[in-house]
Amino acid sequence: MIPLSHSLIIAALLFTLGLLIIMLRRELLFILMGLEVMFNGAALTAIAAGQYWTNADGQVLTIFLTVVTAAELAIALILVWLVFERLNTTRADNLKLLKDNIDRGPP
Amino acid sequence: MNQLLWLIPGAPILSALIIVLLGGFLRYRHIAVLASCAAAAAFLTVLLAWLNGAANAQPLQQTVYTWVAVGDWRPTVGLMLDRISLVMVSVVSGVGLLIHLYSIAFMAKDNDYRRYYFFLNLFLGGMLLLVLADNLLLLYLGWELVGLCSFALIGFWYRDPVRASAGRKAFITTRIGDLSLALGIFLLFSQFNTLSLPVLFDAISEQWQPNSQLAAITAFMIFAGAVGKSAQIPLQVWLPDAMAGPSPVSALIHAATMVTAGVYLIARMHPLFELTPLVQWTVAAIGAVTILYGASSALAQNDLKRVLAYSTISQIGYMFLALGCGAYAFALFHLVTHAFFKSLLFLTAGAIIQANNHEHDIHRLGSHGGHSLLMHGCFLVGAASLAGIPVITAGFYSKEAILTTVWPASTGQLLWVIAALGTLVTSIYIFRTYFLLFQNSQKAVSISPVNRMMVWPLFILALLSITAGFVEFPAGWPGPQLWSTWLENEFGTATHPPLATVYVLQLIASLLPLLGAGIAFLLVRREKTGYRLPLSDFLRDGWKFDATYKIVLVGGYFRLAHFFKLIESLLIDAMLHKMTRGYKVFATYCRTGFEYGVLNRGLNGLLSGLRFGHAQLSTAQNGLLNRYALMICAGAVFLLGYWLW
Repeated sequence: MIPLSHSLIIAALLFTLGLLIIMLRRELLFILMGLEVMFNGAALTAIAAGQYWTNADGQVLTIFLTVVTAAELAIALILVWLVFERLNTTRADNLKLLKDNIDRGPP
Repeated sequence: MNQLLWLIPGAPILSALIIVLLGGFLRYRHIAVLASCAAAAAFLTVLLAWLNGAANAQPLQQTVYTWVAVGDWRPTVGLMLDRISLVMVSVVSGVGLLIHLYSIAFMAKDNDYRRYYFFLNLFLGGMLLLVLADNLLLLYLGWELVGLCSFALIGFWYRDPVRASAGRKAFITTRIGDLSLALGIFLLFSQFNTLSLPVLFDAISEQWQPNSQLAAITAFMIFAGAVGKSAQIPLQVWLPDAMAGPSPVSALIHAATMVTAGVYLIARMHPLFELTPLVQWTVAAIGAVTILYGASSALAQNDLKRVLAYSTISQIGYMFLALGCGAYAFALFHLVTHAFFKSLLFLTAGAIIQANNHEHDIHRLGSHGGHSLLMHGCFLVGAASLAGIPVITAGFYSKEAILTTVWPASTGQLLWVIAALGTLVTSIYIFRTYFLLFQNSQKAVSISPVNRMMVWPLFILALLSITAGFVEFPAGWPGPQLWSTWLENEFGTATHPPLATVYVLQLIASLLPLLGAGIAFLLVRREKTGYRLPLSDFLRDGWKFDATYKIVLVGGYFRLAHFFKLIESLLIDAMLHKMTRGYKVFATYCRTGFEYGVLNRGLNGLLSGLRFGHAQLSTAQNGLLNRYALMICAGAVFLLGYWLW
């Protein structure tokens, strides 16, 4: 039986890793992967907690989370593809349509 | 047997789901067979229940699952099959099965068969759920489900705007009743904190005094719901227009089953209604007026299906009359026989109309159309049963039973006279239709023979329209009275007047249909020479109810809107003009003294300050995804830190 703290440490590591990927990488696909890693961290927490309290809800939650993530990822991939098609880039730095342009004056 | 109960509403609903989800992979034949099999499964389960002695034993019960659990209130999806439900379930699933079979041939040339069978199956499931429900919430679910299916099937050919608006009209009109029913259910829940029917009846009989005001209000609300669904005055206007749907739909929903849901509801809630004689009398009075309304309006119709629609309104009036007089068993009896002969009439009418290029006018159908002998026979049987030709038809027995029990009720004599008059007019209008259709129509040479799948349901229904009455002979006759004794435990016995009176009443009531048929014969002969009934326009438009509603409700609303508009233009515009002028004077004064000196300078200062702030803030809004993520993280860390320490 794995102690709870070990699982939680791994989960925290996964979460931080995902967060770092999101903050540091510039490629949209990598950012999505970082999101996935973060989700895995969260799911691992749920499973670890479920094991600790010997309750099946954690596993149910994880399966649910996986399904939702898959659905969400499908939509995100479509968006990335659309971005590539319209703007011809997948780098996050180049997507600055929302940037406020002070020269134009207030909207 | 208890465990199989879910199959009765479950099979049609499952089949509806399959059709709507996977119907794209299936051909017409498969969908039609699947839908009919589902109806057959429901019917076979009901038969199994009969064979297992559901008719005599305790009510069957099954709780499928707990629907909602809020505190100690747990409405279940629970089914209950007692004798009242058994009657309803048998009729609904039996007639439903026959009409599914009939539809196979009838809808074969239509492209939207998938939608048709989906709604037909869903309707069947909803109706069975309605009559099997053991709590009011589930009953209401079924109630709304059949309303929805009725709307969708009336407007089935929705590309024709008239038909689509007929569907909307039905939905909106019944909605008024549904709202009232929902309010009644809320009231019951707020009083007793439960919706389970057996518990509710115990609580009602314990806690509410007879004639109490609360009981009267609740009963009236539920009665109004029944009025909407069963097309009684004043909410009857939707039913004649509902004939825009396909004929099998009219037969199933608007004659045999859905419109009788109101009758079932009142019969089911009879412990409540027995507490309030006033509401009960209202039920009877509405029923009596509706009998006369429907029968007289049917007299002047020229559209074959509209004749039958008005006739349905009037026949349901008989059921309400019986309910109001406390003869619940006879109301159900008439419901059953009416389901048989009216669906027979509708299916025959549908076949005739389809064989003659969708011609609805009875005069033209009679003079040009050819009708096969089968149609002739089936229509005659249905018409005879509807008119209540003595001794040989089912309609006679059920109507007779109602008429004799009306007499001893309060103001029973008056109600009896109205109902008897209704019988006479019923016989006149249906035989007028019959004579116009068949008297000198050509022999069926040119038209194609009727599909065999359509013939069998007609035969079975015709047989039932004749024989279904023999289970209950009128009071004082040497014959079995199985029906009323069987339902005695549920409803108690209906009171009869003394035997001598009974015989006189029966004699009069059984002569009236024959008299009516004679009058109809003379009427048709005169009508063919161009004679028109007095008041025929008034009657054809259903006593001008539609026009009145249009003037009173729609016109009233417009009048109100115009009134408000007038007020607006008079009051507000005038005031605004005055105010504007005042402001103008004030503004010119301010401008010279105030604006140039104070405002301009102040505003300029403010503007430059804001610009500076904007420039500072907009560096944060740089559109960089990663920077935003960093911000979110920083915020989250800050909040976490704030909460933890």
